[in-house]
Amino acid sequence: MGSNSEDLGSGSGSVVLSRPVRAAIRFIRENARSHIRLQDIAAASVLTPRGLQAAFQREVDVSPMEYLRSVRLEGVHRDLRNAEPGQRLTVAEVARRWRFSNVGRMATAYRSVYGIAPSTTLRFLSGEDMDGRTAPVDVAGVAREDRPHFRLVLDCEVEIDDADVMRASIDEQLDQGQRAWPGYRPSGGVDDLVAFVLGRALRRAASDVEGITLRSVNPMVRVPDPQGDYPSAELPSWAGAAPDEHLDGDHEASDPLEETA
Amino acid sequence: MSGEFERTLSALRSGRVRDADLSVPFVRLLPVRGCSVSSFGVPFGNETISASDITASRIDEIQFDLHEGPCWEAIRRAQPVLEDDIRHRASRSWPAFTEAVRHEAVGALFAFPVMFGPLRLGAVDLYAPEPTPLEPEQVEQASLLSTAVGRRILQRSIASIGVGGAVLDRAPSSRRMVHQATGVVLAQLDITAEDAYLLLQGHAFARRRPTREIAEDVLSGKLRFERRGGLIEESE
Repeated sequence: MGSNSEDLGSGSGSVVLSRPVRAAIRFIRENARSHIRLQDIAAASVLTPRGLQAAFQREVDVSPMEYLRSVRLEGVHRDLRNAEPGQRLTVAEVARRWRFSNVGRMATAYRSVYGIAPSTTLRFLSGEDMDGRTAPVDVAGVAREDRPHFRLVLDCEVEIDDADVMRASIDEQLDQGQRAWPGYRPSGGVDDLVAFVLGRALRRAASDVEGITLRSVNPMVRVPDPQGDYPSAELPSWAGAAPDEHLDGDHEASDPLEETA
Repeated sequence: MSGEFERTLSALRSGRVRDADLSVPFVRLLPVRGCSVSSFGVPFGNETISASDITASRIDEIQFDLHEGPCWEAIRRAQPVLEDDIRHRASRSWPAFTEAVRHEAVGALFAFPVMFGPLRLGAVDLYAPEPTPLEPEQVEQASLLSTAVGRRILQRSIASIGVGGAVLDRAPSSRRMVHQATGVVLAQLDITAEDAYLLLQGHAFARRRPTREIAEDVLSGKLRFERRGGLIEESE
């Protein structure tokens, strides 16, 4: 034992966990979902159960079984967070998955670590988005192709008054309003940013109207040539089926991905 | 927010900062001694991309070794983990890490998740030698910087497998399909076309699948990106 700590502590003198304790931690993390006993952890650490307990207490400040419990709680938390709405997952199920025999006791421990009830985690993360609206149930795939649909081209021409002011204004709007995800800010040229702003408005407008679903938004940017003319832009002719390959050569430039690359 | 902060943020976003210097802006703008920027966990791998000093890289190393600590927690919770007095009021969630870091000159430790939408890429670790609180505005700034770093790390990972590799198939029909799927992602999320494309590629990278297959799933509605509780989730 002592010699193990010593040899790990040499060099920088900063690693204080002995090899057996590290082995035990690794074993616990890898096997937390199985039924494991102190003897199993001890065997993995090559110490006796009593020796492991003493080493763990000294180095980690909790017993191996307490450590195992906290790893399992973490697992419960993760699974609750990752639950999908359609999955109908219950707290009891997750608790069983992580080998908690008593859901009530697990819930108490969970609350003391995470500050909220496990059921709250499950409900909050799988039920509602930040607006308090119910997250859209996945209706796609149900006779999706059978529903009538069409494409609409809104051809806009945009004038740039002041690019810096525009950038600052977009950032400010996003800092105050809802963003795609925390800290998200768009990057790119003026055209990319204008496409972003208008696309955003489009999504908002479409979601305010009942009875339609906005399937896709495809910005297609055209800049004037030296004579001030815009190159003609044809819609890429994609269908629901396999795309038409022969069109490709002619329409390279209509791919916004090509232009931003 | 301050002009200097905005300038730094736009420098980070523009790619003018080299990978090895990604930790520099954090140290300059925030009341911390050191910083490390790392990718963590599956599938992006454990790697320190930029560390401002030895202690910062040491903090990463301990967490790589132990598989626990504020970074892992920040990634799991998709939220910053703020330990303003790690010597006296350390969280009990990572006992082994706390013990190991006790021997370093670390009084306060902050971990910010590095994400790109639903993709959890890594973390930024900040430390101060003495107990130090972070003001809410500083937490917000560090989060914004971390998010900007996220785009960089993702681009870096994708570039590392090379253009024309397994992830992006250059066949015209594939490209067309990926383009089309980008439009569908744009109808689901308020992001730019370039970021939607990056998201598809990142999703493919994380699953070791060709981008074209991911695009097919998006087109058929099998895969959707949705905002839920302030986070982006993938429903498959």
